[in-house]
Amino acid sequence: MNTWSRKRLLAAGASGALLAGVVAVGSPAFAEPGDEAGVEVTVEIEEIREPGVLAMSVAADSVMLSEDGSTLLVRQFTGTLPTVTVTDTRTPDEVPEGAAWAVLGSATDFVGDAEQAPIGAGHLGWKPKLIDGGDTGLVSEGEEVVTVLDEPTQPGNNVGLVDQELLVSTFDSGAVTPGEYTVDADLFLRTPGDVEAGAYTSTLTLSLFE
Amino acid sequence: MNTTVGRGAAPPSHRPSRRALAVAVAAGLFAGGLAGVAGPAHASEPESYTFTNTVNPIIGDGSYYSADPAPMVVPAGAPGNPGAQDQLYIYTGHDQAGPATNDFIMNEWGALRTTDVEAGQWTHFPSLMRPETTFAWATPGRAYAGQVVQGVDGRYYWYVPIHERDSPVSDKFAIGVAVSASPTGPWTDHAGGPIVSQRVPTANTIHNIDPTILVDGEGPDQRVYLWWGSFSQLRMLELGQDMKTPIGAVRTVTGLTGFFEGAWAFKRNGTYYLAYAGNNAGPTSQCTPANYHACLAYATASSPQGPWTYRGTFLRPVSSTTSHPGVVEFDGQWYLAYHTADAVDGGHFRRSVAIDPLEWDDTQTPPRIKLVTPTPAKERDLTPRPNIAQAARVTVSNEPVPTQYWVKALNDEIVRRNPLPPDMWGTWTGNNPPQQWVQYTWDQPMRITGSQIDFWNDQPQGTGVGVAAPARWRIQYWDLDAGQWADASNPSGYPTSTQGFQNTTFDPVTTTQVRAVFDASTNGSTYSAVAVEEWKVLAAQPESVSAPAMTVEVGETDLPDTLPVSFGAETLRVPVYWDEVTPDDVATPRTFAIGGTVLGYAAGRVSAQLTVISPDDTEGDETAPTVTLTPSGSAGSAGWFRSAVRVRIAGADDRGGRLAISSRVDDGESAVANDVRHVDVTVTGDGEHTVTATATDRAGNVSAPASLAVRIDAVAPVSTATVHSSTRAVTVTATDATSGVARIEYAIGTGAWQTYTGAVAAPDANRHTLSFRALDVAGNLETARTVVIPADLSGPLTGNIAPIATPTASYTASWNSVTALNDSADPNNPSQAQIWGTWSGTRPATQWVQYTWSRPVRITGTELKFWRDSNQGSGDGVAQPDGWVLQYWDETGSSWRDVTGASGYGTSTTAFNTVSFDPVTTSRVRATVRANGNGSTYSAVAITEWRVFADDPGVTPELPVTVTAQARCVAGRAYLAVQVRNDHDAPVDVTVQTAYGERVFAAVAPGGNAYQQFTTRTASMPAGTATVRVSGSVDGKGVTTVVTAQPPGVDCAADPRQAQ
Repeated sequence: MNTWSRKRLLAAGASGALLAGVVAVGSPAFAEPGDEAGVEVTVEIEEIREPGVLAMSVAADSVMLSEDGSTLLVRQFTGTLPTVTVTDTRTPDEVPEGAAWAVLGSATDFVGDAEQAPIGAGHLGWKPKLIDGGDTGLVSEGEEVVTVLDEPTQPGNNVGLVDQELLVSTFDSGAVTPGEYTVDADLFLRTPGDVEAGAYTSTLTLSLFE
Repeated sequence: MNTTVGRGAAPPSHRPSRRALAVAVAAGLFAGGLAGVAGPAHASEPESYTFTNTVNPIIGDGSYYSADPAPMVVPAGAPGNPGAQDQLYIYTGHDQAGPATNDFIMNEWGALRTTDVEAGQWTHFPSLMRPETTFAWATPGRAYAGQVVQGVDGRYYWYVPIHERDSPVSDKFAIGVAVSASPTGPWTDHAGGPIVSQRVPTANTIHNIDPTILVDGEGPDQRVYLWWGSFSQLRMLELGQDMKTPIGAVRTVTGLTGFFEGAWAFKRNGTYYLAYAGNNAGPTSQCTPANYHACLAYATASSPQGPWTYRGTFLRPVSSTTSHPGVVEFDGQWYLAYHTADAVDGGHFRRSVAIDPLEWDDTQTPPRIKLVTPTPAKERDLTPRPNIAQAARVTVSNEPVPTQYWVKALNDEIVRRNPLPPDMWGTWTGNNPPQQWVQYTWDQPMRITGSQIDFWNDQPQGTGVGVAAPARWRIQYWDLDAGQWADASNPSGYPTSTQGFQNTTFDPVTTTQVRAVFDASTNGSTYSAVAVEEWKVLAAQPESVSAPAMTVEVGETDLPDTLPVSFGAETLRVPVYWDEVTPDDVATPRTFAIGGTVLGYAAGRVSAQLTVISPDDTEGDETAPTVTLTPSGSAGSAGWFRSAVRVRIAGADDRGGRLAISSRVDDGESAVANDVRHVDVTVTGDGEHTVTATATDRAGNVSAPASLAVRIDAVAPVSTATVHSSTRAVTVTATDATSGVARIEYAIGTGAWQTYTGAVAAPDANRHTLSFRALDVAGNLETARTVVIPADLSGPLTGNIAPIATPTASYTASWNSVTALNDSADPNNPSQAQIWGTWSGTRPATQWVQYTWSRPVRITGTELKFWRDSNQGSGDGVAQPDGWVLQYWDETGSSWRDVTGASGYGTSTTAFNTVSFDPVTTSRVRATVRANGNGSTYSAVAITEWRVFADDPGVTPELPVTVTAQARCVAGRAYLAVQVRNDHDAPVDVTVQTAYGERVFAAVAPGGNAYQQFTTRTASMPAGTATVRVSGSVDGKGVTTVVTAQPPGVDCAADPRQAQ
């Protein structure tokens, strides 16, 4: 049996606010002072197809990235993915032999609110962080994914969140149920230094597979 | 008892006889005298003499040993019997072996003749026929069992097994037939050659002896059948009425369970019978418990051709190893003639013919032969003597005793000058342990002070093979107070000669059990077995024994079976064997003296006053009797018994009359026995029991109730041992259901037993055998078990590493040993068990020996020494080989390769052939030997010792982890999931490396996991490698272990989840 669920986090708008933030920290000014920077970060939650068995939830439906760590060549906006919780209330013998769950995430391109050119999803990377993986050692976060502007830190991982990337997984569902496991991730949007100022929105979709 | 008159007078008999027989003997003297006077021999009559004897054996004085009886009735008026009475002839062989000769020395046949078996007047013809005199084609000697029958023409035909002089076959026995007009000869060769041999009438390979003949039917239709054979092969052939010409083919006869030899055919009321000597042995055999003993068994059929149906045993094993039936009806009574070793100075090769009535059970169809009771009955030897072994129960260390031995031989008080199995108890098996024991148990405490033991051997001490006198032995007694075995104190010595009785004296001790513990003789690697013909235990002698007066009631013939014997301050109840008391003796009240023999009291017989009283004379008796309860059984420790317990409930009345005794075990029904002095109650079953009893005298006075608690634990504890996989320490646990475990003991190798207090550490890196056993509180000692502590090969290895290898070979002869290769023993004259050898009927051009180690070892040299007993070029035996080569197992190539750089392979059989070669690391080596040949066949090869030398740095300890690498599909993409489980007992650091990423885990807990799923970002993944580095600490040292896993590839394009 394969169960899976998907949550969409209308997430991480790179936005004027981010740029304002940059301004706030004295970075080269691209944003207009005093600009409204209401970043829309929304979450679209699909109905859980098999509620109460193996489920995923997300602590918030939006996150705003703020500028942090930009250089002359690369502007960086960071945030933290709201805590993702995978809850398994099944008994071990209810879990199919060899089953293993995994949560994958992918993002859409960042779309500007004022006709700016979109920022590709390849510019959004993450570094998952396991908050509570239990004590079996059989739940682990996925590897870091860096952006198209970066050199790979693992083979081929400078692709951003274009395709589905691994947030967290278990080796063996049966060995870790019942349980509640939490993970978040550092989010980072890296753009060229000449990115156009403005508000951007992307949707980060998280999917639970087994 | 024999009395002889006439020629060839024999010495007087030494055999004891009963008084009742004395009359017959006197009559025999008279009758014999008459015969001697009245019957002067006719000139043509063969030599004979007449004697009278009514007690078996027929010739019992040892003047002539007769064997293999073949009875035949010669009716009155038949040729050779002009008298008015039928005559019974018993034809016999003549055993002429010396007292110490273990072979059948038989040169002639004779016969015994009587007209009245019960009267016992016999005429003996010592020599009626010799092989070489009657049969021109025979050699002298080997005059084995024959049979005489009256033929179709009325003449007498004697079928005998003899050796054919000019026969080329391996077994020259043949059956010839002689003929005579008289039952006493003269005999002439009837066929002029063998009628049966390995060549005629058809070629065969059997032992052609022991013919039996049946002339069946009446008048002109008479048919003649011949059966013969030995060593479990029985054949049958019909002969013509000429008594010699074969008709039809030889048939193989089956259906005779346990048939060995000595067939005897006869017919009764239309049923055909085949009696025979059977030797199917074993604890459950109907025939005999021990090999080399024979019973007489029989089968029936409705036709001479069979089929035969086995009908059981009709004579149990006799005192000679062989047994032989001759069944005949004479004067309306059936008889069994057989033979025994019972004559004076008789033996297995000095047998004597006996005869006893044989009775039929005609209620069955076909009628059955009742078990024959040999006479005279065995009577207790009432000679005063110190030996008390014959009254003991025997237990031995090697139950079940191999069937070539007989535990009863130990205390049967029979010591032969030329003993053969099973005249002894022995222990030989293919693999003999270092220790054996024999134990005697008496029903009551006895005071003992000496031992006489007679060892048997077929090998000298120090050979480590066969049966040899023990290296040392000692006597132990059961210490009744301490509840354990103790060595006899101040022993005079424990001699181990195999010539005669070996004497030991020791301080007198009172005990119920004594044992002899034998440390087997060894050559350093294997042990010989132990065998004992007889073991006597000698009682301490009291200053005197006086029997107390006894009282019995009228008609009471049983007397007390013990009497008090004082040894200083200690008084024991010792068994006494009284002379028989007849009902006439006790018919009326009176007092008389009676004699008896006290077990172990050698000074003489005892006499007691026996008073007979009337049971009815109870007037004025108001005194209650007393009752006592005495347990007997295998006494253990702490008040426990280790067997079922017999409780003797004895009543005693002041008047001396008998009593009624009521007894009860636990909550069971009360049992009442009337007119008794004691009753025995058997208490069985592990646990605690109570026996309660009262006694009532003739006057009705009832004793106070008496009770006895009986605790039984007859079951030994059970222990188990486990060897820790890494530390090699041995943990032993034990359980006992009833009395509880007292302690656990262990011994390493052949070391002393020690009390177990906790896990036993391996003494060093070598392989060891640890023996362990548990003792319960009752004293039941478990039979030792063993567990092997494997060698620790992790350290650096130098020198000869053969002893830590497992040896195997292309072939090993059953008498040789492949473990002799690496037993580190290289004696000058090794026994066959101390070498590896390959002799067999088919000897190939090459043979090999192999050593296997549990890990690859870096080796640099080897040496071995060959063994030979034949010359090169002989093509047989064991010869110096043509050459050999050392090969090693190439793991990567999965093949055997010759070592390189070898310095040259010598083939000496007197010195080690040493070879050095380029170092190679391998877990297996072979020495492949090229046998020497003569052009058509090869000799065998043999090696005394083979060494392999190592120069190995040792093995770094490894961290135990379990790595699992799986290819997975999630959402149409391939992932590599790697799990590492920490099986170590301390945290480890783990690094996982794959083509798709690397992950480091710090301090993974014992039993915990490191897990990472690596993403490929592609729809398929080829098979690859995951490399796991594990770092941690073993025994305080930092260790890094690298483990790789080979995950398979995966193609997720077809994965259903891709659709999502």
